[in-house]
Amino acid sequence: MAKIQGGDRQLVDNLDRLTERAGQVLSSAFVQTRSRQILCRSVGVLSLFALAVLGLEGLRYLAGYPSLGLRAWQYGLLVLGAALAFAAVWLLRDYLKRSFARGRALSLYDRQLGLANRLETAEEFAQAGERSGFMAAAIDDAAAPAQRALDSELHPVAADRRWPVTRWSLLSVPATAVLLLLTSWLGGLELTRAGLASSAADGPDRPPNTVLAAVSGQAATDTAWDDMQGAQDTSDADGEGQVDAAPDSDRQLIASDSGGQPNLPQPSDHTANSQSGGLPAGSDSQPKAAASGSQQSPGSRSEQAAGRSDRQSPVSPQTGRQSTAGEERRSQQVAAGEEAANADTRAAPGDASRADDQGGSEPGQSGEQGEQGVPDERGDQGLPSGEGESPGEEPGDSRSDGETSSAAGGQSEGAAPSEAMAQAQEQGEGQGQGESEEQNEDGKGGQPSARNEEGMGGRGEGSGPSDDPIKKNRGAATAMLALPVRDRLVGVRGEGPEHTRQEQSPAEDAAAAPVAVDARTARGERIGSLQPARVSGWSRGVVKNYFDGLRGEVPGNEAESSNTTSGNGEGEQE
Amino acid sequence: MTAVETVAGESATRSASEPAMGSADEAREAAERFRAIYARIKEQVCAMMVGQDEVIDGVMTALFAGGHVLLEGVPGLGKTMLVNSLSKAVGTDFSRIQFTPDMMPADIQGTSILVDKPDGGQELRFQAGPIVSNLVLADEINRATPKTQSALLEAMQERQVTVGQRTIQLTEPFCVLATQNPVEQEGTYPLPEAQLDRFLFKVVVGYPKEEDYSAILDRTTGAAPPVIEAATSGEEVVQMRDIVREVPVPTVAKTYAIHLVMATQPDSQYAPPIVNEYVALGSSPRGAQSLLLAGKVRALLNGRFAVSCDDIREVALPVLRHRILINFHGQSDGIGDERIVADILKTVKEPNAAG
Repeated sequence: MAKIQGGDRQLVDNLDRLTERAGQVLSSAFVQTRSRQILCRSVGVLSLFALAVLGLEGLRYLAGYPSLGLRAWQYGLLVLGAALAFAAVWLLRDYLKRSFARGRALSLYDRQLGLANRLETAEEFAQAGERSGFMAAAIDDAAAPAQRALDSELHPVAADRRWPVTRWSLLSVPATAVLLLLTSWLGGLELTRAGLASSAADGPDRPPNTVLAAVSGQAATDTAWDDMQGAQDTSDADGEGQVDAAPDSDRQLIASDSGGQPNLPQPSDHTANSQSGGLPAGSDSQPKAAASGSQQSPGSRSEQAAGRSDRQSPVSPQTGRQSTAGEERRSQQVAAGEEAANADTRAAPGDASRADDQGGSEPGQSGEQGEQGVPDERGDQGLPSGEGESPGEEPGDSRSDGETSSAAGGQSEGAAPSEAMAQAQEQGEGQGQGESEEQNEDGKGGQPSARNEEGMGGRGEGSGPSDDPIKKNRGAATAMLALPVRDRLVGVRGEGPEHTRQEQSPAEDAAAAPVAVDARTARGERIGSLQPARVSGWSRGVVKNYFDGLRGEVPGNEAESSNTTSGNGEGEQE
Repeated sequence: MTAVETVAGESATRSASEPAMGSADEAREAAERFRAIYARIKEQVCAMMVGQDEVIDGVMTALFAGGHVLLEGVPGLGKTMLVNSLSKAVGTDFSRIQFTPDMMPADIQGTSILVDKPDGGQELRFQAGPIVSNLVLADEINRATPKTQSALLEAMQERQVTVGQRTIQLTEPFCVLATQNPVEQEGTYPLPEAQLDRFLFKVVVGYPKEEDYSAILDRTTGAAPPVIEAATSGEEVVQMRDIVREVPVPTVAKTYAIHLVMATQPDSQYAPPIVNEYVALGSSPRGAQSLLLAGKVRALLNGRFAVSCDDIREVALPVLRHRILINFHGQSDGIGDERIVADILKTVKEPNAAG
């Protein structure tokens, strides 16, 4: 075996230079091929990016942070940019990690110059520890071709022109579009809610034509409410001695503010009245609540509508009514907007805190204001008492506040309500329904039933800037208090009872092709002889009588029927 | 040269030559000598055979690679004449066996016959069969029964013949050149896969070209037939075989041969769709051995000192065509082994192929 010779150094150097030059060509082809692959895979990743954006928007929405508010194509650009950045980073990483075998680089020259693997073979044999005579001869044989390869220019390697489009990549494009539309829709939801919150904060100065159609859409329901309200008021007065003193005047004011349309009766005052009337006598706040239940209805309505005015307006009926009208309009707008956008979002328990954040006020703030005994501070200014604060209130809370304040407002509209209102705010405002329930258990508020109901109502209505006065859950309170509670569900008029009428359709002509007699045979073959049925005389007589009886029912066959009867007797005798 | 007769259990004696290629110059000299001898033998064979260069190269490649050749062609194409001419040009023993359906293994391997002693007694004496030779022409091998065909298995693979308690070590060079007629299949027994695998090459003999007909007629119908002289000897052929074995195989060529063989196997990593669909049985590792051995011969003949992928590709068809068993669907669709090998060569890329 031949030993490694130093004379091969020249060949090894030549091979090194060839490898370096071929590596550049291979790198170029690598980038082209790899970029196609990565781009196709990045298309597949598009949907993941879109999903991530959707998830972020969803989390942002749930957490109450403001949305980016981008359109679908803007989201698309965002996702596309992210995918391109991802592809660029991937390609850069692969480019930096690229490595080509020396044999592969030299094989480019072998193929281009038709060297029959001479350079590649020489490279391998030169690295071998021991060489046979043929190996040494092969290395020597590659010296001249290596020099020739150095003098030649290496053609660029044809990169793979195919786009490795996978099924996942194809599916990713429509999936990305759908996800972006969802993201945009979610952002629109957020915008709608923010817009409604800001519109609620604008107060009654907003042009009346911006009132949502929900108000007019509820006109038909209002009529029914009015009808029910009379009976409900009567029942309240009869049951607990609490008379709603000013429902009609409130209704008029509300109607005048809402463009002459009849307003929805506020449910919580009646509910509060009835509930407060049903409270146990041992409760601290019960007397006030019972006493003020009938007199606080204007204020309580405004509080129920705005969710915040309950803390300010019970002193002045006038201002309270004004704020009532304005707040009610807003609450209706909000309610309509939210119902149009997503009815389910109202039911989310976490909406209370989100709405609070968007409303720009903390529930505790309103509670403090209520405790400070400045109930009519905004009402005097003619501003909506819940401005900037009420949107954050949970409907259940606002309603409970209204109820509590109306109950605590007690006998005099001016001063007395502030104490009870503060108490109610401490107990109810800014607290979740869990707290309300806890307080109910503790009996602090003295209105376990009312809080229980408000908690249930809040659970059903969710939150948002609208203090939807419509209570969605009334069965529990009714069951617990054994008191009639007006049905304030806004629903769709039923279609009425169903009538079913049977009609006889005319008989159709039976069209059937005549069947040939031969076709009934068993393919023309003999089927054998059929044995006659062995029937006893008695059974034969029964069958005969049966058919004779049928025949005898036909008019004109009475004679035959009599014969048959006689025959029947004979048969039986047999 | 005669076969060395040994008793079973004794070690066989084989003629072997020492590898003499210790340096590059010696390797070059050996390669040059190989090409010279090859050219001389081919010149003598071509004195009788007109045209059929590929067939002659195939047979001589198998001879120098140490393998056996299966010649397939219709009658009258000079298959027997080629083998006869080659044996004369090589200068070794030659025997011809005409296979018939009633031929028995003893007719090939030999048997013990009762002979009279000079002193009046009688004894059993082993009479070697025609298989004990250097170049064996098995004419129309597919006409013999499988029992007789299998009598060749040991001789072709082990280079020895066992008859009773006697084992005959065959002398090198030993080469079986079998012929078969692809058209007259009635009354024939197609060779089993085990025996087909033992042939290094399967060379298909085709019709001569138009310009070759005139020379064929002149040489075979004239008054003086061509005379073939021995261009080498059996010992020299053995030395050439040793030179062939010295040729190194780089990794790229070895890998390429492995990929080709694996591509003939259905459901393998490199199998093209046509193999998966129409091939029932692929090549065995013996096919890869044959590829490398034949590639070494081609490398020397092409003036190189190492096997390249081109050499492997050049011998792929005669090496792989008879190792591929086409299934029923392939036969019904008219898929031939040549098409499958061509598709494999087109599909399987060289290991370092870029792009």
